[in-house]
Amino acid sequence: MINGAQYIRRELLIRLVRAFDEGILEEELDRIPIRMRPKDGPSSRCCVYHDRAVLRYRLINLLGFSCEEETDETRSLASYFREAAARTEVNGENPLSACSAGCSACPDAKIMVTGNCRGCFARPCMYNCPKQAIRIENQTAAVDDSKCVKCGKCLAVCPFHAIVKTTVPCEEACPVGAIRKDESGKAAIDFEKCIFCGKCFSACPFSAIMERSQIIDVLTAMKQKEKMIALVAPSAAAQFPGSIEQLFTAISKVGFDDVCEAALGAEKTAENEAREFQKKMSEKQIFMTTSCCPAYTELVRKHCPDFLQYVSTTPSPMIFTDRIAREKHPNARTVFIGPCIAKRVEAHRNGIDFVLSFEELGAILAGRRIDVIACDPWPLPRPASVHARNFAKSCGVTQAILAETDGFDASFKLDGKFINGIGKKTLPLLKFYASGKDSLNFLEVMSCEGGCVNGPTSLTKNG
Amino acid sequence: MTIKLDICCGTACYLLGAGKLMEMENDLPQNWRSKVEIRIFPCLNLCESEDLEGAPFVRIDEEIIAKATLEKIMNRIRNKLENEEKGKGADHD
Repeated sequence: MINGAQYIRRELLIRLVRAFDEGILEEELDRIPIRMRPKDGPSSRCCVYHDRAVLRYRLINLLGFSCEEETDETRSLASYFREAAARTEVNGENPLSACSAGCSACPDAKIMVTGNCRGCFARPCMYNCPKQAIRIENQTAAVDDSKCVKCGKCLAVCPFHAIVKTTVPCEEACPVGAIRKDESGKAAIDFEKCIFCGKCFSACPFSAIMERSQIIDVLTAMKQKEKMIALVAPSAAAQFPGSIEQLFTAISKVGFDDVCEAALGAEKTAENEAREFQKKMSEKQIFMTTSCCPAYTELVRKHCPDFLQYVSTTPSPMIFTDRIAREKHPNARTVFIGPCIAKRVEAHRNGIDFVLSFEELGAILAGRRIDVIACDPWPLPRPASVHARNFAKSCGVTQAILAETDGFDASFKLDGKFINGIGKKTLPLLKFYASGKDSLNFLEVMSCEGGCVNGPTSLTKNG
Repeated sequence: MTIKLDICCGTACYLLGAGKLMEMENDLPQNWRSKVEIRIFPCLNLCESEDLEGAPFVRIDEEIIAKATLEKIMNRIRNKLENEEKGKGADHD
């Protein structure tokens, strides 16, 4: 089921596309928050006025700007739109933005004893606490915050479920400590540390972490009759009702001149990465890791640069697909369509013109009233291999490379491990692998648990 | 009389929550399955006449349900089935 945050985001996107197509977006923009939250109507937060203020920031992000760069609070959305429609360069770095107006300033993570505590005799909470942070006062357990390390052992042992842990969801989700709080307790992103994984974006129940969209840039380029080529991520299968071939037809109807399956690039990635693996092993490198997940490569670059020597230098499926597309259409603009936030940065650094999320693609399809299941199948020049199409699933990259190394010398046997979802424990684990104490020679890392199919803007991901 | 449950899976409805509704056959109690016919439609054009805010839309017989959720749909079906039962009871009396 979708949640309220996804609903609002998608509704706004569809409204934006419809107003753009009707040519009234500039006048309409400043009215959208009011139309969506009329006075006397229901509100999601304390009042419709707070809702409207946050909707305004959502629109600022959909226009490609960030909350952080706002200098003039009185600036109209129409004026932001004029700037967006006129720009020639998209925002490529820092694809996320923390909206302080939307942030609830969640209290710091804390272990708390609730009224369910019966002040029992066994007191497992007290005896299991490694820091002696629990004492019994007036027949009920109490936590000494100065000693508590929030390990949660007391939660697990209480038979009455009387102890709870409150969290700051964005902080809890961030694998690299890139969320800090400002003086007012509101979340802010430390871009020196951020790896663009989008976990905070998915975790915030107030949806106060926003994604800076390039949808206006894509719609404007289409309107200016630029030649547009869609590069569609392997995770696109099952995003919409209908077949992948029907989806490609739907994408072409949106206004793309050609649609390329990024799994074709994944075939090249697998082929080249297998060869690179063989070479690295013959050079006695202890192991090699995948490089197709941009949040992972950013993690290495920003947090353990010494590890970079083990990361494959083979380009990602997106980059190979971009090359294939540009060979066929030299003067076209390429648009990668996928479920990933970090890809926006990778695309920008590698000459891919734009990135759309599946959510944004869905909004354009909905805005232009194109139903995937009503479309004829797209004539694929040839379907990509099953292995390449499975790149988007955890273990998929390893399997594709295994298939490629099949014919290799037996001395190059691949002994792989997976990091299925980057978390707070990933960095120490990488350092452990780099020490050579484990027998593995190949490591697949995917930032999203389950792979790209569960990316932050995937439509099939559970809300 | 079977109840006709039409689920719109036009892209707007799909994006705004119809994805889960499309699989709702599995959520129907066994004894309802022969009484409810689920039909999946491309856009029913309800988002044109009504406000977008109403998506996802479903139609139960001729009645349109906006902002459809599993719960809303189940309640409406239960209602209809109960009314039908009562109607039958009256016939026998």
